[in-house]
Amino acid sequence: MDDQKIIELYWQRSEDAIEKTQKKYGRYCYAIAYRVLYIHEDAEECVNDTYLRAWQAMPPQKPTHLRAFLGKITRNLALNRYEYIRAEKRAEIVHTIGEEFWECVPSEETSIEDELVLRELINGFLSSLTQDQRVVFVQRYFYLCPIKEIAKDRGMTENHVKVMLLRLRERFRAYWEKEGRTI
Amino acid sequence: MKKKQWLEQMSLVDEKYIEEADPLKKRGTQRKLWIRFGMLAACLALVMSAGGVWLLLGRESPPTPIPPEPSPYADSEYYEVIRRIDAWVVEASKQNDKNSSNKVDENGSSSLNSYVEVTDNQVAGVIEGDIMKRTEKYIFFLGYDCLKVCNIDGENTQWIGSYLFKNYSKESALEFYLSQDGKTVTVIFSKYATDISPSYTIVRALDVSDPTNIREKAVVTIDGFYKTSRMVDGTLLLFTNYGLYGKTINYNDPETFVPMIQTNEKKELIAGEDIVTTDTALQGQYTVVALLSEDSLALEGSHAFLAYSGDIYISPEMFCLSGSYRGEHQERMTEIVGVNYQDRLEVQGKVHLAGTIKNRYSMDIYQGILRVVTTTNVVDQGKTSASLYCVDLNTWKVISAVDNFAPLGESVQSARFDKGYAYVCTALTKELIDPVFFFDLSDPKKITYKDTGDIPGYSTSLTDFHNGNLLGIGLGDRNDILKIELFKEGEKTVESICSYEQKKTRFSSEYKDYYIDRERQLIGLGVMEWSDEIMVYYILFHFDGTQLTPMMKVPIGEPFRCRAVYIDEYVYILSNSELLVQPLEIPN
Repeated sequence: MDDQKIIELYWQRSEDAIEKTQKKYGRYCYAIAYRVLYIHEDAEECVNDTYLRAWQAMPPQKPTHLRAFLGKITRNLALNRYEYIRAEKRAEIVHTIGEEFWECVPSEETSIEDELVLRELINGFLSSLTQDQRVVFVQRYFYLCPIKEIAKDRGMTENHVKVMLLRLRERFRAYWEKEGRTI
Repeated sequence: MKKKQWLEQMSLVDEKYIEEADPLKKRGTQRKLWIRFGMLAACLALVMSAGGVWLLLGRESPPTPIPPEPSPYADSEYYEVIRRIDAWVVEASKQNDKNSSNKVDENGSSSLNSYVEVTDNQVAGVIEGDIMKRTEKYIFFLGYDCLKVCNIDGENTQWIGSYLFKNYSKESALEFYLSQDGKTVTVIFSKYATDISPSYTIVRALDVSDPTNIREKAVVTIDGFYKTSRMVDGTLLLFTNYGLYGKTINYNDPETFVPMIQTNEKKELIAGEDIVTTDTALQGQYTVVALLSEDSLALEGSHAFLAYSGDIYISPEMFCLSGSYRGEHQERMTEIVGVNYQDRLEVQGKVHLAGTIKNRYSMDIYQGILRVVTTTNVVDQGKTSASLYCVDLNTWKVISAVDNFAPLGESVQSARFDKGYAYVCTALTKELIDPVFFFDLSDPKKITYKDTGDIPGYSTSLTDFHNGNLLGIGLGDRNDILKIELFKEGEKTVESICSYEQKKTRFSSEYKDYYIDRERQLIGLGVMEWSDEIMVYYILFHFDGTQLTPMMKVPIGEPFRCRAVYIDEYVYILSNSELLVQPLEIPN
């Protein structure tokens, strides 16, 4: 079913909305959650919570890209859940990626409370990248993909991906400082 | 905001970028390919069986065709079953992928042979040359006169191939690189100057896709003796030192005073616009930089830096060259130039610092800040000390410094930077006493530090080890005592956890000669010990969190050009003349 029709179902408060969402995006949301949690049952719960959140969000929202909209909800739910369960080895990848991403932050005192400012910062940076660079960056820091998976997906060596990410983090930090976002 | 909260903010990424990067999109395509393959295989099987001849006899069955997405069947009473089957089929297809990649190709070698890092690189992603590299199946070792390859098979390990260097009597094989696909070895040789010929560096690319039939595929020669190199993302950065001493210089003939690079196609002088000179130092030496493609050794760029002949630091984007000179009061000074090499070689800036640099570990770039540790002259005291500087790479200005933090008379023996921290070991080398300083550089403008106080001996190498601890390898209170020590950061000082000392022992001070395995907490090196007789052996330690215990002492022929690696319950020790494999059980 077309995304616009699914969104219409939400606006009409039709219960078919959840069912159609599950059919079309259940696997996608599950993959995002599983990549964070690595536990089947917890990932499933995040996906179910995603449908509930979507129901609560639409209306008033009418996302342009329903898939990405749902992906964001699932991601946030999974990261919050990760804090609670702390599945040891599995959770390390999130911790590792968090540590990496921390290198982009100009200083420990950096704090941006205005979401609009931060959104502009992140997307301004992403728009300045080539497609390859942007995909690698988003796959790592939004989708939380392991290096191996990114390398396979992009047809690169793992080392190439690592070096690219290191350079992009440096670039992002420099971009951040230049735009004077430290408050 | 906490670190994890910053990661959460990535949810603000525009949805078009999220869709663009969706990793599942590609898998959908691959799934369709598998479906087509599965259908073809099924058809072929049908035809063959109909003809009464099963041509697939002796070959593996085709992979299980992957059925479509289960979500359209959500209404079915078997939906839960369908979902579980789908999960199983997806897992099985991954296993099939793995099995296919294990197949031996027509050359007789397996395609599952990816690179495994064994060198403890200073900077992640910036690969250093070494005399041992490995893949999942083979270990490559650089002997004095040849490159040798052994399989990795526990007690059945043996040499399976070698490549003899034609000019080994004139050219020294120094170190090499192995490509990520395990098919190309890049070997670096140095030919030192004689009365009739100058020094030069030779780079040879070897095709090792079949280790039993190694062939040379490209060669490049660069003026100057070999200094260092790095492999970054398939590009070899090669640094040589080209001196003008003893040359008859004729300014009408640039070949008498400008370095040259010779590839398979041509020999060319480095262009004048690609030569950078220092502001201060006066020396008749260049550092020559050549960027070469790993696969073909095609020349991608070159520069020469006149009078920058000191140590070199290389990050994924930039390298820093140093050159020393005397200041106004004859104090030692260092000039550092930063060069970006990502697109083309381009000077970014220069800075002048008091003191001299010990080695490459005394420099580091992190979050746009160049950190440097130097041994400085305290002019009015006539003695040395140590200083640490932070240079902003946007402006190339020093933004903070800790001047003369070491006790008077001491000099820097080793340093190690690790993101927001630094460890520096200084020592009174005549008395062999040192403190280790720990610097908190998380805010480069507000540096704090603490130290161990005086400890007998000093470390010639410092590195991070397991669980945030610091490992020091060096000398005890006499220069014939090997000392290995582990430190941790205490509240107000740096504390020693444990140490191991061995008297009447010689060992290499070259960091690459040590085996550091942080995951398994192993430390290894070759040593020469003399008591009643001279014994040469490889010693391997295990650190259990509180103490260092020797696990293994294996007699070897030479202590200083050997390597070891632990793979699947065996320790492999290689040298020019030996291949030793010993089982090792590591305590939990």
